[in-house]
Amino acid sequence: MAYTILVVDDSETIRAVLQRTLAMTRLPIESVIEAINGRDALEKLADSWVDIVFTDINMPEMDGISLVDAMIKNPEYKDIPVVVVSTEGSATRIEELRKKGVKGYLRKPFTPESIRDIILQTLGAWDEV
Amino acid sequence: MKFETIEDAAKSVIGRILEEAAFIFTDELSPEDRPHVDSWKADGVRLDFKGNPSGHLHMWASDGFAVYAASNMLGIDPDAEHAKEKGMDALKEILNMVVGNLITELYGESPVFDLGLPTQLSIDHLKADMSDASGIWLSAEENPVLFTFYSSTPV
Repeated sequence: MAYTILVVDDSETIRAVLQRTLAMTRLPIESVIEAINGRDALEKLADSWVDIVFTDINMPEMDGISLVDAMIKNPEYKDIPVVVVSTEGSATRIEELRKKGVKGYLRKPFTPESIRDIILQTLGAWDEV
Repeated sequence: MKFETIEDAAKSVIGRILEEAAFIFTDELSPEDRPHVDSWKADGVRLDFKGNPSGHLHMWASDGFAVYAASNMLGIDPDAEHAKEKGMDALKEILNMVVGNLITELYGESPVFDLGLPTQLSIDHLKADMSDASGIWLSAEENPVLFTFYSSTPV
């Protein structure tokens, strides 16, 4: 199974770094879709099937937490796993995100190994690799 | 905090972030090697954090550093036409990573901080930042880089 991944970050640099890093994981990735904020991500979700969402927290217009809230409320998106990618390291904040249903947390800067691990853990696909 | 001063913690975090995110290695920049305020063509970015305490960081770097960082992060040729325009975004993202990691280093994992969005600084702030005695000067690939840190006193 090849994955379609939605990357949500207002930084063009981080979106590009994530694209590069995902390519280095050697996971079967069909496509990586980019969105510049939560609102853009919801539009992309309406257009495409996505297996997993990687989202930043702090973004203009619609942040990552609002995106998670909107996805939970939508029956079509509520089961799509979300991984938050952020610079923040507060255990309290991470626990809040887990309670909201966020499946994983990846801290910047990240490595190909950490991304690979979190995708496999989140999608429960260790046996397929 | 495992460091004796905020400056020590900041130097450690900044060095680690530049190395891991942009493959850039840093050294301390001695006072005699620092650029002159009237001749340094630097780009600056700022990021605020709110919590207990609140504060902000400024980062200043030459155009050459910004392009070098962008090219390393994006895997593109630093001489490529579009490398220069990516420099400011790379500076903002480096500062974002520095602030997020530094406040955890300084204040631990329990408090929640709200980070702002990185913004470009007006050159008018450069003189004050260059005269900040607690500013952290680094040499990164022969480019001077300056960080200044301000935080309110934790309640």
